[in-house]
Amino acid sequence: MSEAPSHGHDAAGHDAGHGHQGTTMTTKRIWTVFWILLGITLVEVVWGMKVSHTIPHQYEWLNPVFFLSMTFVKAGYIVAEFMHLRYEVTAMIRSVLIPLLLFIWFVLAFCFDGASWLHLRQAYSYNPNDKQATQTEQPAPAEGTLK
Amino acid sequence: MSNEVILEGGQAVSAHHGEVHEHHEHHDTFITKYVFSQDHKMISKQFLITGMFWGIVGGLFSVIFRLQLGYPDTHFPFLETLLGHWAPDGKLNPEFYYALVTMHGTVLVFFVLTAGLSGTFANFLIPLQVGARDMASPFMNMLSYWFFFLASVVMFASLFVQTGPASGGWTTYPPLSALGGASDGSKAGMDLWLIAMALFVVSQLLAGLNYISTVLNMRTKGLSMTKLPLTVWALFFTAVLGVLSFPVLLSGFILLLFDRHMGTSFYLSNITLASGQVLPNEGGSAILYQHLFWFLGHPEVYIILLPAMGMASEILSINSRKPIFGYMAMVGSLFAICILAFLVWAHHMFVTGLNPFLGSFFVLLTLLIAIPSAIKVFNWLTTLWRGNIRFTPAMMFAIGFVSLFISGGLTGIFLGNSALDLHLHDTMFVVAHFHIVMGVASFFGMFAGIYHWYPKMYGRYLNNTLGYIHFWVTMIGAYCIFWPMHYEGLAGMPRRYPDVSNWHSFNMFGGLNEFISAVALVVFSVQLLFIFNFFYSIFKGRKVRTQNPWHATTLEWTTPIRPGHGNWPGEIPEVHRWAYDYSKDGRDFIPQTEPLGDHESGH
Amino acid sequence: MATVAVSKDQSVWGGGKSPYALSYGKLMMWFFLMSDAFTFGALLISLWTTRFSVSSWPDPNQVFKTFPLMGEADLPLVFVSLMTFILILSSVTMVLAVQAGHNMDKKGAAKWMIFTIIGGLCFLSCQAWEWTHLFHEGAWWGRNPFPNRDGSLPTTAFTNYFFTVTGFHGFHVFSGVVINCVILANILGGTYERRGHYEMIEKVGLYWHFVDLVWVFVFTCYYLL
Repeated sequence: MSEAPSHGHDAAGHDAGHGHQGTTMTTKRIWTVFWILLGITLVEVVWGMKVSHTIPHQYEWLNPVFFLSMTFVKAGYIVAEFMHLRYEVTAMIRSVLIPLLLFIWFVLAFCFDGASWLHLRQAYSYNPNDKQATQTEQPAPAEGTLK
Repeated sequence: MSNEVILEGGQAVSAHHGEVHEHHEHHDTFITKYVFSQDHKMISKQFLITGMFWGIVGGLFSVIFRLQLGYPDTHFPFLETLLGHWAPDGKLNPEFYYALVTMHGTVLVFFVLTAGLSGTFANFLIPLQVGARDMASPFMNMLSYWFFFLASVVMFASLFVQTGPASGGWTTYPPLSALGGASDGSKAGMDLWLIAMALFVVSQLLAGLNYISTVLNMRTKGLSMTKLPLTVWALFFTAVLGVLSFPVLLSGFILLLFDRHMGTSFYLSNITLASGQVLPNEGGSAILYQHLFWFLGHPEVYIILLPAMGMASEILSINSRKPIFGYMAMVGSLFAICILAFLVWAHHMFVTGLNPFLGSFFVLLTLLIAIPSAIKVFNWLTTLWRGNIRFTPAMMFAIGFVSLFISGGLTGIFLGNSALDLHLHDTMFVVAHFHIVMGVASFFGMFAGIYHWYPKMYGRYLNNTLGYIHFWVTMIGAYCIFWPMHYEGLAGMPRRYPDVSNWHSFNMFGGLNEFISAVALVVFSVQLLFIFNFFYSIFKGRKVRTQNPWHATTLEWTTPIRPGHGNWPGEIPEVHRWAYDYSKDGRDFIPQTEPLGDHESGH
Repeated sequence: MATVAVSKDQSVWGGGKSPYALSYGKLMMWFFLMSDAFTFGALLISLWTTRFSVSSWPDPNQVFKTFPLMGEADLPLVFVSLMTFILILSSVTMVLAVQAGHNMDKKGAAKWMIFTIIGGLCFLSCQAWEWTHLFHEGAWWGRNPFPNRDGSLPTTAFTNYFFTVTGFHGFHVFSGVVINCVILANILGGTYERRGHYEMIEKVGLYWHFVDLVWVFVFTCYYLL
């Protein structure tokens, strides 16, 4: 895992390795973040055990909203503090975070299509082996179609 | 060596001996110089030559299956000699036909146009044009080639297994590719294909990370991003595309391997075999695979295209003696293409069972991506306009690239409309479109790059006469091969069919198919002529006597004629201007290394 | 992706230095992690696509309710919470190792790295126990004994994705532990003292935190939602 001997390039990068401008990561902060992460996890688990099943039907959407937002908060702390991204150059932060926005369309398109497949199966699948199918009878052939 | 030429020529080599990072005198053995080389120039040649090997293999496949399409009733005894039981009685076994089209696609898309194109030129040009001694990590660079080599070995081996190579199309959709029982080509050959592709993805990731880091971190002093040649920008965005999209393909392949061997149902559901047996798999979806595949698949075509675009921009500008028209627009459109490339993948899936409402978003995004592409086309044309054009073979290929990109790009607009795609999907229209816009166009970019930078690679010129023959035959031939396919596709002739004689709607193209096949053979032969030119000229080509034979402004032409390890024998030059000062202030060209004059405006 | 920085300090992008003030090694690690994010992202998104395409799914509270040495006790999600705690703790010890490295504190760096390795091994052991336990209940790739929430017969998708995703994650934890051991050997051997900086710990630290980050998402996708 040793690095290739520096060929005179990257002199600045070499310096940057141990010359973080004003890092404010202290031991205290590290443990603070740890307790935050642990706390959030415990709240999530309690919600998962006690609340998520007993919540009234019209508020069920709160479950994924809650879990996902807590997940992103935890992810944010890990990336920003543990991985030190908060202390990097702004352009670097953007270079890492902006491409991840691609996930938005990635998730939306895939999950939308997944839901569509369920709908298709439920509405149009006459395959007796298809457990998702809810139609029981084959439709009659339309008038005037080719045999 | 011509180090003296540089030192006397007054290039920006300072005499600060203390600063000179002359390389430790490592004495390379044959192994460390030519085999396990960590020098980016040697690695680029390794990629190029391996890519050329695969080009011959993939091209040969197309000649063979074109024999079937062009002469469906003829028996070719030599085929049986060549292929044995795959061509009994001189006629291709239909299973093997599918294997041929599959491997043709796989080999050319991945091994030739991805590894052979961006692997070669990113490796060769990035350090030279950004002013670095080598890539950020020469070791990882070496690994990227050897993983590619390993992938090649596995893929090549898959051609020779008893049950035959993978035969489900280069896209290897399940359930065909997931069920070994469905087809011989879905047995061992498919597993080897998947393993080879996994190794290939690793190779591309190792390479791409290197390219990105080198462009960001290792530009020489004064070379800001907006002074970079367009080649580097294009290769940079290509690497970004690869780093973010190849992993999704890897995930797709992992799930496919599990479906094949672990009894999982990621892609399988409600399968009834021909024997009547119902398979237990349920809950999966074949369309999921297609989504995962095309999430890479679409960026992949831009990974293939962007390096060609970058090199064409460069070569057009140099040989028109004009700056590229609209440099910032070119960079901006590369950036826009990079982003949009990630958003449009499902336009390959309009008729698969994809939700049509979702499909309409993909139609919109696909039509949007035409805009930056068009901007680039306009800029190339305006670069040529009223230029002082030097018609070198490289320039011919670059102009040919523009022509092919326009033709092929326009038919993409037809296909991007999901309503039209209902009729055109899976027909020869699609085959014509992607061959012209991606296949031939990128090949032309690649050839342009080879002809243009060969002097830098080998210190010799490729033979010009052979070059012009290569260009004209390929150019005219490619149009003769692929243009007629549009009409066949509009008539409904499907792709991947070995024999269409049973369908009255489109079995009247016999003569046309014969013509296409004949031309294909000629075009393939002329590529062999090019290969001969390539290797012959390494040893016997006209030697390069001047450091900057094309009178170009970029940094690679400030190195010695045969740059050694470390590229510049002395200090790395500083950059003061952008890469396109051609015909400025009455001067033919001004190298990037020359400082701005007192009253000169910067870029 | 590089943005042309319209910043006060234009010379940051002027060549001759890293515009991000990062060595190439760290930059490469960040970009590699972004690519790995897409690998895991693809797997998790595939999971969600499949979940949307079926009408019901097993209840994680019913599936993941055992605890080692507690026999038949019904302790939903307690074991996985312990696993999460262990991994987060190992991330903390990794950050402390990085910090020790900044201070050129060889002993401190080694100590915290050892704790991190132990944390990783504990996590892997827990995961192995979980897998073994589920296997004994009849779950495996291609076999799913757990009924859906609505009582209907399940598809094997639940266990297929579970073992694939946690397996892939576990493989990353394992490789992380191996890499950490190599780095520990280098620390103890004085490699970084001689080199003058402990940046390698930061780089593997990034990888380790990424592994933790993926676990946060896997935890949510499988055990909570």
